[in-house]
Formats: sequence, C-alpha cells, structure tokens
Amino acid sequence: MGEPHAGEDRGDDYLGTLPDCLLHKVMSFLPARQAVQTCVLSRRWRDLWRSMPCIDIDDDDFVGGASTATTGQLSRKVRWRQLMDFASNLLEFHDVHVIDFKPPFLERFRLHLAHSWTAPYIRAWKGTRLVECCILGGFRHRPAAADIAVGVGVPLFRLPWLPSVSTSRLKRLHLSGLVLDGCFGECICSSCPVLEAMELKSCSCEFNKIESATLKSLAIHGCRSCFLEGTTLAIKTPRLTSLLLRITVYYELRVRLVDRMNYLIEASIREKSYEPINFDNDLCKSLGALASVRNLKLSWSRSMDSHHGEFPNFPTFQKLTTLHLYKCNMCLNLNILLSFLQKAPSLERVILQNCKFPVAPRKRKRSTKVDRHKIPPECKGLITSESRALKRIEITYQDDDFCNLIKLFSCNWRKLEEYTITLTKV
Amino acid sequence: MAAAAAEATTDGGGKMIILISADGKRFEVTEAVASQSQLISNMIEDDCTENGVRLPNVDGDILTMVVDYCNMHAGDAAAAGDTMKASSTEEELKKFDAELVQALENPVLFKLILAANFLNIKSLLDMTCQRVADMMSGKTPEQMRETFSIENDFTPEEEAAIRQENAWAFDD
Repeated sequence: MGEPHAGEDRGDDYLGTLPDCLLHKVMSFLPARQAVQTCVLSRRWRDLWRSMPCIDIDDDDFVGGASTATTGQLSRKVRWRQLMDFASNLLEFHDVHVIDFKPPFLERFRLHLAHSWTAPYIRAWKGTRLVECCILGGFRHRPAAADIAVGVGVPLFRLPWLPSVSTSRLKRLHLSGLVLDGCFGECICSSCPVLEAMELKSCSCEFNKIESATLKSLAIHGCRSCFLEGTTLAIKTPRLTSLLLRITVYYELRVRLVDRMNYLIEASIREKSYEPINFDNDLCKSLGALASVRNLKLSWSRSMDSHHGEFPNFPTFQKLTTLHLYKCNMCLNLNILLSFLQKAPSLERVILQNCKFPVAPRKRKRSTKVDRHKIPPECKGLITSESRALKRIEITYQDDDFCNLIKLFSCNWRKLEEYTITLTKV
Repeated sequence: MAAAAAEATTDGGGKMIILISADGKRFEVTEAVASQSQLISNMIEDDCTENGVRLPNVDGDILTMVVDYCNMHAGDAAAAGDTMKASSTEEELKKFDAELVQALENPVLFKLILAANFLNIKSLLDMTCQRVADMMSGKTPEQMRETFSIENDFTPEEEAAIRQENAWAFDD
C-alpha cells in the first residue's frame, strides 16, 4: 500500500515507531478533540483517530480561552455549536474507513456535559435532541465502559432509550445527573448481559428496580426520586461483592434490598434524613440482605424509633470482621451498636468515627441519664461482644464528648481492659 | 521435578527467577516481583522458568528500570504482606513513579513503553502512555511535531485538505 508503518526507520521519531495499538493507548489518555487533531501530524497519524478505542468528549475542552464578559455570551454559543458539531462528526466518522476484521466497538465512551456553561443549551429543546443523538451515537459503537454526565443541579435530561444491542458488551456504567426512567430499569435487567459495575450519581430515579445477575459492584449516591411521594428502589443483585449507598433525602428515594447477597465483601450505607423511622421494620429487613458482609460501614443521622432496644429482625452477621460507624448519633442509636456486638461472632475491629456520643448531665453522680434511658435495664453492665476475635476498638472524635462514651463503656462494658482502644482527635 | 532443587529460594519463601536481557545481563528477582508481568506470570504457571527467562527484545538498561519498578510495586501486588521488604507506602510509590516517569527522555520512554507492552505490565504501560499523552496535551499539532520530532510528510496542499476535511475538530 506504500503506507508508512510501525517498525520502519523513522529517524528521531520514536513515537511513530510504536505499533497502532500503543498509539491508540496514548490517544486514550487525550481529550477526543486533541486525539482527532493528530490527523495532521503526518501520514502515520492521518487515520489513527478513526479506530481509536476510547472516546472522551468533555465540555471542559471547549470552554476556550479567557473571553471577556461581553464577548463571553456570543462565544459560548459558538463554542456550544463547535462542541455539538465535533461530537456528531466524531461519532459518525469514527471507524468508517477501517476495513479490518475487528468489529468497530469502543472500549470506553465518556461524555461529560456537566459544566455550567453548557446547561442552558442542553435545557433547550434542540440541545436536548443533540445530546440524545450523541449518547445514542456513542452507544452505537457498543462500548464496554460508558461514563455519561449531563447537566448541573437538578437532573432534567432524560437518558434516551438504549437499544438492547448497544449495551450487549457493557461492563461498566457510570451515570451522573440524568433522569432515569422505567426503560432504564428494564435495560439493566434484560439488555446488559455482562454488566459488572454500575455507579449512579445525582440521578433522578423514576424506575423502581435494579435487577442483575452479573452485577458485582453497585454505587448509588446523591440520587433522588422524581416523585413527591417518593420511590422505593428494589435492588436484586445476588452476585454483588461491593455496595455503596449514599442517600440524601429530599424527595425520598427508599432502597429495599431484596434477597441475601452471599458474595458481599464490603458495604457502605449512609442515610441522611430528618424523619424518624422504625429501625426494626424498615432497616433490619434490609440489613438481612447484607448478612454475609465482611466490612460494613454505616452512617445515619436520623433517630431510630426503637422503644426497648430490641430488634427481633436483626440478622446475625456471621462473617462481619470490621464494623465502621461513621457520624452516627450514638445518643439515639446506641442499641444498634449493642445489637451488632451481640450478633457478629467474627467481629475483630470496631471503628467509631466522629460519632455523636451521649451527653451526661454534669452534676449528677449516678450514671448518666442516657445510660438509664437508652440501655435496656437487662443489658446494664453487660455490654459485651459475642465475638472472641474482637480486640480493637478505634474511636476518632471531634469534640470532647467522647469522655461520656468512655464513661459509658467503662461502667457497662464487661472486661473492657482486654481490648485495645485507640483514640484519635481530628 | 529435579529442576526445583536447582532453584534458589529466599527467606521470604518466594522462588527466585533469573531474567536475561537482550545484551545478556542477568537479573535475579522473586516470583512475586516478576509475576507483575503477565507474560512471566503465565510462564511461571506453565513451569518454564527454570533456566532463566530470556527477553530478546528488552535491553539491560531498560530491564533495570522495569525491575526497579516491579521491586517497588511488589508490595501492592502481593497484598498478603509477607514480602521481605517493608511494603512501601502509597505516597512513596507515587513519588517513585512520578520521579521515574519525569526523568525519562524521549528514546528511553518509548523503549520502556515497548518493554511494558511486551512484558504485559499494565500499570507501567498505563503510566508511560499517560506520560506521552501529558506531553502532547494542550499542544498544537506543530508543537507536537516538535516535541516528538515527527516529520511532516504531507505536502502543504495535502495538509490543508485534511484540515478542511476534519475542520470540525479544529478551532479555526
């Protein structure tokens, strides 16, 4: 063909001697526009971009230089046109001229339009259609990993319906700032046969189930329900090894974990809400799905409605070795810690990080008020762990109220002297 | 097999493996260190490392760097923790990686990329390719040509035609 190729003598041009696959690797670390611009470097580079396996389109790369406030408005409009023009051309012409037997699939497709300057254009009807076309254009190349972020603030942009063939190779999916409807739930359930990792961040959820037989890692943070009355999201993922839930409740998104996850290694659950919930009914049943977990990090600020500190539905955590309570209100939820201590026979390490501890009334001689009220009488003097392996208790604190906790522990924890307790002030 | 007896072992329990560079330099490393290379890891599995591993397309000076890198990173690969050296902290590793990559001059950097690719050491390959991308990032095509001594073999007309064809990717 007379085309220059890897391996031939290229003088000092060492970069050009690398085989295509390595040049593609280098290009995968470049923003898409710059990766395409390599086409004018030399003949060696002319068509490389057409077969690059990773596409990264980011509105950050189109912000442009320092434009003045007056010209800023105009140049933004121009920039937006450039961005959309670029994205649609790239997704259309990528792979068109590649005539080898490798299927034209992408390894990674990343589209980030999460800069505030693009937000007004995306909200407009025309902009919305263009962004939908970009997403579908990327998925047409059946990416193995997709990372889509659109918009800032309240999610308004709706993820378009993805044809099932477009997600057939999808292993990793990150979505941020999108409205996800029932079609999305359906797509995860039936059209993603190899999906292993999914992260949903600041999305607005209209779907009510995540069901996947292959998913190993799931993270949901800052997501909310589209409806005022809230949504309950049922999660049915039996192969999960890692779960992260971080739910800040405005429009309440409740999560219900269905089925026990037998392969779970780590779980981190953080809820922030202001209405009291019934711990036993609402949470213990969900905790049952986590009963196989080894490392558990929990954080919740709301008060638990538990009258006598007994939770008949509290599961036994046979494999739990590390319990990490982060920013929990121990005044209100001390009996949760007690339940864990009694129901986790393999526990080795307890970490209490920046928790709020019971405040003792100063001038009283008797044990603190909190003691009397929050520890059921039959447990008094009997805080104890079922685990023989538990040796380490690590406490980090911000205020000095940990003294109250120490007092509480020393009065009530049997054989406290046998533990290694580490205290750190942050 | 008899060959097993001939292999040196260390206090750490890992078997030692000899790596032989293209110019005949020999490097003795533990299995844990060497198996960060997927190529060598597969050879260990297939039991064909007894007589040393010949690496005909990796020079001694490049292999020295690769072995240094693998020694440094052996800790995080074999997370079990009973490597002989005190496992380096994450910060130390980052500093080591940054210094290694920063110091690389053009020809050595590309030889290292080829070695990492041949030996199949993903983290080293990622790091070195990232370095090249960083050197390209934010540069105009003219500046890129200069940085990497790329000869522009287009005629001015051809170059203009390509720019025209892909105008959507350029600013002007």
